[in-house]
Amino acid sequence: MLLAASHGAALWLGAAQRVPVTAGEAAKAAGKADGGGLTLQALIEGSRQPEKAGEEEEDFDLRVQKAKDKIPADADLGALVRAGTVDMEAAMSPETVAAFGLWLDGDPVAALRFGGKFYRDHDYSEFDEELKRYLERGGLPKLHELMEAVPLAREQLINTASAALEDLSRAEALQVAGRLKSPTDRLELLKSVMDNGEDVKGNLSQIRGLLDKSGAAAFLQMLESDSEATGLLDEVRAAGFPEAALKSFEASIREREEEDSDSIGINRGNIDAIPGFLRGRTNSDFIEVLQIPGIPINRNNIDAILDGRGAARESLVGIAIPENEVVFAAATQGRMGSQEIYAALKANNSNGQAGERDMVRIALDLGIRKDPAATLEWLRGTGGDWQSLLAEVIPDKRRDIAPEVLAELVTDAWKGGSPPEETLDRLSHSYARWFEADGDACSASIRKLGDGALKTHLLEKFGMEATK
Amino acid sequence: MRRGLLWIPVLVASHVAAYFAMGGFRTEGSGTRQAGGGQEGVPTAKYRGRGEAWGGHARLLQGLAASQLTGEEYQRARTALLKDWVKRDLRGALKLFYAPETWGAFRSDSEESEMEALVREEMARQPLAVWEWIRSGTYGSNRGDVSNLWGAALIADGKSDLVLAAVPEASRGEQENLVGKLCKNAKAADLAQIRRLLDGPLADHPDREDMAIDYGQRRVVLADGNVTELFTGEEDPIVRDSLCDNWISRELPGLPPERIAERLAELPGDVLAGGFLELAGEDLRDGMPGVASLLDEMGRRSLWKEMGEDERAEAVGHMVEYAYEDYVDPSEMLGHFATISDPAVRGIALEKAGEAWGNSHSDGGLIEVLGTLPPGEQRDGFLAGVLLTMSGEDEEFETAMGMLENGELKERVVKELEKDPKVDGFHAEE
Repeated sequence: MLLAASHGAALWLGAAQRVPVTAGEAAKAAGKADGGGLTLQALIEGSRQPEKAGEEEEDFDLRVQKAKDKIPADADLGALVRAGTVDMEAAMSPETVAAFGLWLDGDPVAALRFGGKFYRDHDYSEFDEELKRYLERGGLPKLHELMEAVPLAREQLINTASAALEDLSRAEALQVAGRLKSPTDRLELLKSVMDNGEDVKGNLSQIRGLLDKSGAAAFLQMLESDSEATGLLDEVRAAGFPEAALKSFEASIREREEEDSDSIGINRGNIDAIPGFLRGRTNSDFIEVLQIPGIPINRNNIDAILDGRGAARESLVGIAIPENEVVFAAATQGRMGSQEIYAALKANNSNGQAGERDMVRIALDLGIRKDPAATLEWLRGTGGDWQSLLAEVIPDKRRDIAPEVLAELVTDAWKGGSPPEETLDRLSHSYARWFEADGDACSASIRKLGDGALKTHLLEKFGMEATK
Repeated sequence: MRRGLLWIPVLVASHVAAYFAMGGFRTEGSGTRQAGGGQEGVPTAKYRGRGEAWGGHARLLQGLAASQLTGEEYQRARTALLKDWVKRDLRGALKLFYAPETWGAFRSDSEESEMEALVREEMARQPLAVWEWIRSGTYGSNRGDVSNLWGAALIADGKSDLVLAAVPEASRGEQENLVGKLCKNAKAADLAQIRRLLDGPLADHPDREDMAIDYGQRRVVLADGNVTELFTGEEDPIVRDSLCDNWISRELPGLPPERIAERLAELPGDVLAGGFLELAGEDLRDGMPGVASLLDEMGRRSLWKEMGEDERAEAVGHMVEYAYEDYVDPSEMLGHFATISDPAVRGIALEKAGEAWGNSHSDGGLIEVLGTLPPGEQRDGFLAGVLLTMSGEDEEFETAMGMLENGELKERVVKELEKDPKVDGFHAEE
């Protein structure tokens, strides 16, 4: 009963504390009853003002600092941290982080014994800032002792130490690394602190001295990909790296020099990777499309095509009409159905710049998620190769149309015939996920479909009896 | 199988009663609802199904779509409207967001983080009603998304008992998701109940093993690594393996090799072999020298005798393979392996190291490397491993074969290559 009572209390509290969340809601009190008190007028007025952002969130670090000042000197810090980490679903409070920071200052080994396990058990990284701060303010020279005393915290220590060393001199980094007992630990720290040519320059012989042969080879391998590698060659040679590693380093530099850099162009490989909505076009169509005046061919619009998204897309498929921007924006907001989009495109196409098929396809592509049934009805009436247009857009609609709705649509669209193999596969793929999670509901949905090629395909795919 | 069914309705009923008593249970459909269909803003009836009523919010949505608002202003008004809908008529809003017919049109609204948080908050206010809506099938193929939100909302709101009660009647996919969520932060009592579910309603679940892994992960955290507490009274081999694997990956990485062996000795014999294999995949401290010391320590503590020979070979092999990096210096590595006192284990390690080296150096260089290694058992073991990765029939292979001193080893390499030639047409030397 205690539990139930607390639930009730929580509900009551929640209701009492409720405050208007949005501008629209704030305005609704003045409106007449519609949608439970909300009016169109209130919504429209509310929309003109951006939602009032909540009180400027105080910086988390500052809140931690303030919390530290409030913790009494004789507090049991470990107990505070443990209590603050019981509920892992809740966000970590600044008070808990503050207690952990003070715990580190007073008894770093005990704090790390807790922190190291915590680091493994949870994805939270709030304690890392405190550990980094502790290392920066006098903890770094003790890093090797802490690693030995709390081996479970090794990974966390190396990660935060390398972050703490970022802003210090390279000499200090080498000093800290040099105190670590294990060559593997030294390698890991050095690899993360001095990971580029600029940092290692002038330090290579000292670095080599801190590593065993395998570690030295690993370090050199990391530098192979560095853009400054060529400039390091003499120093690497003088530092006495293992011979095999040196050879591989030299070879990688030669390779890089020979490499013809920055040679990304339009080629067979990326032309073929174009997504479904442009399929069916030949490469020469494509070049024509790319040569729309004012749109230079560059890496960006190639990427936009390859993504199948982006602002350049509509322009690239041949409808570079400025008035259409408003239409596209409204369509992506889910505000217009296919038929409306088509009408708007048509109205903006007085000079006939856009092709009929392009307009129908774009209207279909952008509007179908708003109302699939109405879209199909409209599409049928457009004449032309409406079925193949539908088949073209379906593969990209995984996140726009639920499988059971798409299945009804496809059944309806190809009544008496069969949709393309790709469409059938796309649907069975979507159903497979559902089938695995909830076989009964999924099977029932398949059985409810009208007879046709798709139903037969799905029944077969999922090993179901035709009638049941 | 469904032995949970008896006690669960009792629990649910008590909560229903409590909610009514505290006045916290809002009557459903408190938002204005009017009949209508085929309006703009919601899809036409054809794929929508059976005579749903859409209220004033739907009409407002239609009004907004037709308004002069554009861009951000339109989006702000739409969001404000939908939030209001969630707060006044959660059932209607959930239907709009997740019923298959409208899901696509409102997906970007429902996935927005503030909206999702609001939905969760409202779900936590009427958890049992939402669970009934979920079970009714309204959300079709999106049911899993809704129950995921519901589970997360309730757990965050301290109502994990309700989620636990729902597990037996959830769909297969939901069961796995809900158990995973529950395990993440479960207190001891809840976790004990999850353990009972694994033997009850979840006993035949196809993904029971995955759920046992989630359970084991939390169990190890709650036991804080205490082996006796973990394994006492636990007889299910799947759960025991999960406890062991989770214990290993939480307790051992980072420890020095002697300490790892010492802690492994705490494990019950039946899970040790599997545990050692799990350990092979962990990032161990000290790379190859660490692996060598650990293998030696295992022998010193007589831990090998808990495992079969094959299990041992597999685990040692995995451990060497995992720790191997292609920059490892062979002479240094062989030096480390020389410290392993058990000759059989040493042999396996050397051969695996050779295989790993061979696989990462298929472009040659073997003879050069062999020149840096003193002849003897170490080199032979390593060389045998390299030879097993070669295709044979070339000069390098012939020379290397000639350098293999141990006749028994040579014979075995030839036999194994005959059995599994790396290229067609490999023939043993006559």
